[in-house]
Amino acid sequence: MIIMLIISFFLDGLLSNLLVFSNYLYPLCSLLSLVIICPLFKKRQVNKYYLFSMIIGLLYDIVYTNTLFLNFILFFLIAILIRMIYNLVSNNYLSLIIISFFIIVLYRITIYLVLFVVNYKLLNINILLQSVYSSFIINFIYVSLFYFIFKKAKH
Amino acid sequence: MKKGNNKIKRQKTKRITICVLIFLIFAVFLLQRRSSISFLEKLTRDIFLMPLGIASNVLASTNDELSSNDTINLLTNENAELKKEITELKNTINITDMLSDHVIVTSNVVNRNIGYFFDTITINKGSNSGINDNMAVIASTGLIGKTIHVSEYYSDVLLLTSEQMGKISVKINNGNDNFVYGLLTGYNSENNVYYIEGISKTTNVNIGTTVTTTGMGDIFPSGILIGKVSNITTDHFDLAKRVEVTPAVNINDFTVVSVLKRNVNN
Repeated sequence: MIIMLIISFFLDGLLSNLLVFSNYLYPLCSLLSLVIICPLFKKRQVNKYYLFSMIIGLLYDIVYTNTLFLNFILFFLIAILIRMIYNLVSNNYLSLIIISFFIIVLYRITIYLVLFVVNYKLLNINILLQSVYSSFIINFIYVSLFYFIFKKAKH
Repeated sequence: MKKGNNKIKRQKTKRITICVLIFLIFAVFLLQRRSSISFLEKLTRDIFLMPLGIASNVLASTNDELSSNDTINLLTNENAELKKEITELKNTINITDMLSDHVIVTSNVVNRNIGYFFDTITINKGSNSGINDNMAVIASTGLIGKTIHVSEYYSDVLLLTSEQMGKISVKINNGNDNFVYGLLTGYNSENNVYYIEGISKTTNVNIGTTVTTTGMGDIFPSGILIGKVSNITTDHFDLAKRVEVTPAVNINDFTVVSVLKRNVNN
């Protein structure tokens, strides 16, 4: 799980530099790795999962976005939300894809609203929508790939 | 017993909520006020960006590890790549001829615009190479932004497309050394154009003319290309011209950039 988090973290940086040919390929691997690894933590390990989410959020803040504590908090809150959702739905490929899409939409909207509130960005619905749908394709591939790798490894 | 457990659980949730709120307020506060990064952040950035820096260097030095069967293809591709690189470097030299009081530091792009809304890229040169905050950054065909958050080996570049860039003094070349001065005030991502404002309605501006920096202010030297005039409208009050400029640099189409380091001798 730690290895996957580390790989996902570096994949974010690597893919952003590799996929320069399209405006529709924005990776969110670090965030979505939290969705993939969540079912692997048992109930008594839940604190460990939250700790991982905070560490990866803090690293994302420092290394990629220079927004100290913003992703740290958001990743933690999203981890809590993912945990709550997984308590309601079963762990299968379809639920993974739906949760991932939901998390992408939630994350982009929250970040954009925070940036709007602090006057970093002007409110433009088109930019927000573009940020959401430009994250779908590559993250769908990423989530699917890692889900099947994990499934195979489990067997 | 169950009641006691619920009470403890509620208290725990309350404490977590308070902590989250405090951190969120702190994060928002930092987002507004923070101008530089701490030593610990710089160290963390340098450590975690190292693998990405190596990867970008590997990408830049193209396909050395391909098998011998692919040699011809490799050489053909490499030739094309080198030709493109030579053109890029020639263009850079053309630009830099005008910038004699600046030293050029060339670097590779390590990652770009990860947060989507932040309009920044990271390059693999930092204070170790003499780079400081607020130095102009150019690609082969023109200006792209300025350095921010410089650590020992890496720097972030705030792109011209960012709303945080502020106003930049620019001049439009109308031919025969006839310049029209204005301010670059913003970027429209939907139409991919910059806006220039502060030009009188009676001033003549031609479509297709080049827009360059004036050198006023401390950051951008004079004469760096920004783009070409693509459309002219008027502002909301119909009092002044609003000039639309097509950028000279495609933000998604460069892997090598140059930082204009101020020459200490001058």
